[in-house]
Amino acid sequence: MTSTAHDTTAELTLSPAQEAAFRQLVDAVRAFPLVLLEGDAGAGKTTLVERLIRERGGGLRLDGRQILAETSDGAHTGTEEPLLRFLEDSLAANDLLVIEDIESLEAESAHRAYARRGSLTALLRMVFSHVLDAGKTLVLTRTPSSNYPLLAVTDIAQRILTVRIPPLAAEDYAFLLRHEIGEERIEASSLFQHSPGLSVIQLLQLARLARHSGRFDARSVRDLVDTRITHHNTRTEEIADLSLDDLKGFGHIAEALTTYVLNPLRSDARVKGLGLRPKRGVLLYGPPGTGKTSVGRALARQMHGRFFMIDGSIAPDPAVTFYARVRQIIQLAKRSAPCMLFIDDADVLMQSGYSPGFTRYFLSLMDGMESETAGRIAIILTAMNPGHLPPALLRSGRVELWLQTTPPPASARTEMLASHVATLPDELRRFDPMKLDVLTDGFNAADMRRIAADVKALYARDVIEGRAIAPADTYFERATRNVHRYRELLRLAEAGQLV
Amino acid sequence: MQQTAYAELKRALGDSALVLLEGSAGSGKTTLIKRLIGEVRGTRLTPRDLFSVSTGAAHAALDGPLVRLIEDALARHDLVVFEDFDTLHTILDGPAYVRYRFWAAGMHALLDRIRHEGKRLVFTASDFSASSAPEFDKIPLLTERGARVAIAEPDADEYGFHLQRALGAEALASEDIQRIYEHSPKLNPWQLQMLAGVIRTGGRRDVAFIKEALDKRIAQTNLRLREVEKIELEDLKGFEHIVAELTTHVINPLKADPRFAGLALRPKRGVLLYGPPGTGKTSVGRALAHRMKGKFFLIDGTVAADPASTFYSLVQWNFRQAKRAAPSVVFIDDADVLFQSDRATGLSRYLLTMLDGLESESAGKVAVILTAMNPNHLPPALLRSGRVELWLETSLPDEDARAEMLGKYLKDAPAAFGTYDVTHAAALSEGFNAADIRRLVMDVKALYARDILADRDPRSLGSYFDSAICDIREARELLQQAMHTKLAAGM
Repeated sequence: MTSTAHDTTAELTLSPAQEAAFRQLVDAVRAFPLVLLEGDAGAGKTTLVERLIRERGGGLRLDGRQILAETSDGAHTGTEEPLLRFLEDSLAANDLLVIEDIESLEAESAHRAYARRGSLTALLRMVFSHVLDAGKTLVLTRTPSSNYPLLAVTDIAQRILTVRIPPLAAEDYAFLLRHEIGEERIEASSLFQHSPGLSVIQLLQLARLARHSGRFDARSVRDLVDTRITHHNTRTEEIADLSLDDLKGFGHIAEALTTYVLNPLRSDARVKGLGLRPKRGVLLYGPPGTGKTSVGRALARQMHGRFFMIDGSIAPDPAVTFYARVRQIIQLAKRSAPCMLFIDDADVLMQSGYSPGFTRYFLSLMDGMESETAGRIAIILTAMNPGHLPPALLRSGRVELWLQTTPPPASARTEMLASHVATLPDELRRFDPMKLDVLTDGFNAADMRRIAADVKALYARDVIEGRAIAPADTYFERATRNVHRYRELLRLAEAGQLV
Repeated sequence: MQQTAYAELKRALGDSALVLLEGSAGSGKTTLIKRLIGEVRGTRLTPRDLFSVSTGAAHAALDGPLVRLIEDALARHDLVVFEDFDTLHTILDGPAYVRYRFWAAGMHALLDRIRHEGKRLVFTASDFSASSAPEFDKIPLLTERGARVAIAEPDADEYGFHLQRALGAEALASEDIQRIYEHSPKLNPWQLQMLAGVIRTGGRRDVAFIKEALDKRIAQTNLRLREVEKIELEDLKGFEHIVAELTTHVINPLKADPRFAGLALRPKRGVLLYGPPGTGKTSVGRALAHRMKGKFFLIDGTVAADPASTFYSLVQWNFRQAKRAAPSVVFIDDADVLFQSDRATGLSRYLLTMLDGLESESAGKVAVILTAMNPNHLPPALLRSGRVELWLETSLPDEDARAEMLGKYLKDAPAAFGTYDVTHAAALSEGFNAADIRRLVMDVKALYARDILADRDPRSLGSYFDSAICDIREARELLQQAMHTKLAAGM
């Protein structure tokens, strides 16, 4: 429902795209008494139908709350009967009836565990003939959850005229921001370039936040969008503060990612005319512990809210939920485009039981027919072994950028160790780096972190047990031996020779 | 048409205690039924009547009230008509209905009784094929004991009848009605009524406007055209032979052009676009989608990610809508990947049936286009059947085509880019596919942007091209290695 403050001036709040959709709605209602109004969440469906009701001088709008109240009597009896009666009563008292969010009834009726599966068809056909016989008008509103029209498996879609609210254009951004703030203080075109998928509600919310903060410059507004408006499924505050430049020994990877992914995702006036698009399929591959996930963390930091993650945490879900969650994440990503989708351990994920469907789904996402929005999502995959990625994915050529992470060189290992031990007591930091370089040849970032942790633990034990403190090199040698032993065990286990 | 159907209905009622009257939405079933019950001592029931007696019943207990309702009505009348039976059937024969098909037992007993009494029962249905439940032929009660009467789908004359009734006799010229019919020959009367409303309020009556209204307002497709890159078939460089074949064997036959109206052209049933990745198969699809608008149906990997229960209904939806929107195209992208799955056997069988079904339907001008990287991965049964009638191979572009593509992509580049002789890069990019060429230009732009954003002086365009070509070659090399590992590991 629109806020009361705007009720009197609500007809002024329609942006050009909304205005066009409203005219189509009016025409459609005049052409045929059964109309379906489709638009994404926050596109302003309620505003349009309220205005329709006002212009027609009356009508009733039912939302999900009222539908729920009418159909829940606490027992497992049929819900269609009371709902039909409620809708017929509502139609008797009104010439125009609007039922909002029909997708919720659609979802229930289409659910395979619903005892009366498909009953919405019966219900709507009854209501439709009632509307036609009684000379009334019925408008349904719907937020589509997929590309398929209302009740994809029945013929209801054929009996109703559809009006779709188009996505907002730059001029709609300008209009809505001006409307909320009163004057042109936010540069709409640069905001549109940064976040072309914002809805009406999000824009109005953004304008209010900006007014509240008193800062309207492009940078502050973008920060607001990234931190307060758009959704993402990673919590930036839980990600270690890491920038690409902090990653030791990743110079070539940082360079390639900046050139082919981060720059094209940025909207910078200096390169605006080039029409840059990020590489869609980027593969980070290398042995475990070589920093693939760290690169992901640094990218998440750099992308603020525009980072979406699919990792092993969603794999244990049953197939139905698994796909539902993947789809949900991708829908969010599409609405936040340009953005980044990071698929950690893609080789493992794609080898799981859901593999065939998952792979095909990604092929379509990475280079399918509908590429205008999807093309602004950079998809980064990590894999220990690229040879374990599904052949179809490899063959398709949709992995465009191959970036190998390698065990760090001696200099990088020394730097890592230095940063890990920076907070240790002085006596522990007096170790011989040259000696350690030799001992840690072939160690990865995780191994180096483990050395530092073991050194601390060994040192702490001596302190606690009141033993004499050994020279720093001794602790480091012992810790390094531990890691060597662990690596050997791992090697044997992988070769299946561990008894 | 209604006259014929009415006579048939009367004849069927003479022979059979149970008659099913089928007709698409708006075809006038209720009119026929009203006339019938005026002549015979009869009564009408609808699902609404059922819902008013089933109030308070548990979710799964619709069958008892249904049989009782019909029984009571038959006690008082010689003829009972139950309308919109297909919607109830969807529920009662649905997979989640606890007392699956229980209603049929009661109906059998009831039918035995009324046969002796000479009473009659009629069900009407508009859309069995659209319900997720089995079709009419598979409902034992109806096939064993019922007669079936169908109201014919509208022809061009019927189109004229419905449109003129709504808009006035002079509203549309008969040749315009003929052209509307040829553009969308599968509309049902309900849709014609919607179309009439759109024409009335649109203020324009020319065929161009009406076709647009049909594509935008009436048609139901699953492709969001605004998400599809705008490509014209003519813009596809190096695809001249494919475009020519598609135009001759698919696009022209799908058109309704008076100049070849008498030829009864049909599109090739199955068309296979095959070739290495990146050679432009999906681009052909994009161009076709823009050409066909509301008559283009896409089946791709996004269907595959849905749970199995909806997978088939979505595939079916596409074919059903394509038939309704005929002349139309069903485009199955990456068919070889789609078929390689647990659900593949079912899918290929289904597709075979569909391809056959499309042929036998008189007005069904639906072309199915499949793309595949490797036709060897398509189900052998599909290839053996001969239903894939047109094989079109997309191949790597030659040097001239590469130069032409490079020129096209560089056309919109900013002036600061300077000039560049594309023949140089064209010569160096031997073996590159169309996607690589596109990637190459984008990489050059990205390298240039990198220097600009890092406040470095940009290098020459030639040196950007050289390093980008190197990078792409390297990526191809890595890909080969990964594929090789896979082969070596026997995967």
